[in-house]
Amino acid sequence: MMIAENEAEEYQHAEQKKQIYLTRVNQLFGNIQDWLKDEPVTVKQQNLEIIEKFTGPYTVPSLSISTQAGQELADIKPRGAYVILAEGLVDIEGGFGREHITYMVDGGPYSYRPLPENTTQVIKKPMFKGINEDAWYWVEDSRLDRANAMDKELLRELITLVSDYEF
Amino acid sequence: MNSNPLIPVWDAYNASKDAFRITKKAVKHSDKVILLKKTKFRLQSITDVETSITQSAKITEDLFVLSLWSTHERFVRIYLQQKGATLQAIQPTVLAPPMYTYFCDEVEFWKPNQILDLLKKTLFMTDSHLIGQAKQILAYRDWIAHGKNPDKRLSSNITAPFAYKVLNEIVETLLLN
Repeated sequence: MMIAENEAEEYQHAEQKKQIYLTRVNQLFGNIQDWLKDEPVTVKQQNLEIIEKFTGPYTVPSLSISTQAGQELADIKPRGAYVILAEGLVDIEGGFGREHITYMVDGGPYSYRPLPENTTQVIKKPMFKGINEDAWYWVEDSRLDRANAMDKELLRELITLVSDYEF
Repeated sequence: MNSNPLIPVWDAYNASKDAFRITKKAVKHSDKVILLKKTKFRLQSITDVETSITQSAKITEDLFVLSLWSTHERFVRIYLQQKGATLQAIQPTVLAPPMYTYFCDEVEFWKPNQILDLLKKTLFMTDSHLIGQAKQILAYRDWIAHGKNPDKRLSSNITAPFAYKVLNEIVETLLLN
């Protein structure tokens, strides 16, 4: 997320950014509940508090996913509205690891590379492929530069990745 | 210096993530006595091992951000020292070698934020936000290196994959120039 160079200015924008972030988290969590409604898992929503420099403390929802037998699979926890290269961060965390889901807008972050044949000229290049709409994305490997939009199938894959649970 | 030094660090980060996953599988494997032989895990409960590995994975991600930063910083300092090599050609020639040596010594003492400002005003004039992101990674690096002061709030969350992405963009641009 772009942060104003003048920090006092950033504090003025923080409440608005927090509200936008909470709206996006709630949309994601609504989708997750919907994507998992026919799966053999239980989804519980709780609240937790996060603290960010510009917003101060605030309450966010979090999700705990477990099997119907009660085996914990993954927790999905918002980390904050402020994150480099994106506009909001949510972690999905299980016994086998943690993955980051980020909200990307306007095609995602861009870089400006000098043209190899004429280094005085630059080209604007998206840092990640696959960002076609404003949405939550998982970046599989930063070297491959590919971002994958969150959907039901990807959510199942991420739960498997962090929990070793096979659907 | 014409290769990207961040790639081995990034590969090591991914290898460590996989290693943690494999270890967790080993703990529950039917051959775990053999797999865990001569490790500290062999005498611990499954729960303790899992807790230990989960915690280690989080600490490791932070340490890789630190490693990515320090590798990036070393690359940039050497890049600047190499760009200053033209000082060796100045007149009078008697001044040239010691002046270049002095320049190289001085570059070692430039503060990381000063170096980023220099890049922002020059090679990254059209991409100044990238340097802004790098400054946030630097702040995170400082926070980790100084013991994660709980009273200090950072302006942004930093993940290892995105730290790699930002620093790699800077390195790749410098390699082209």
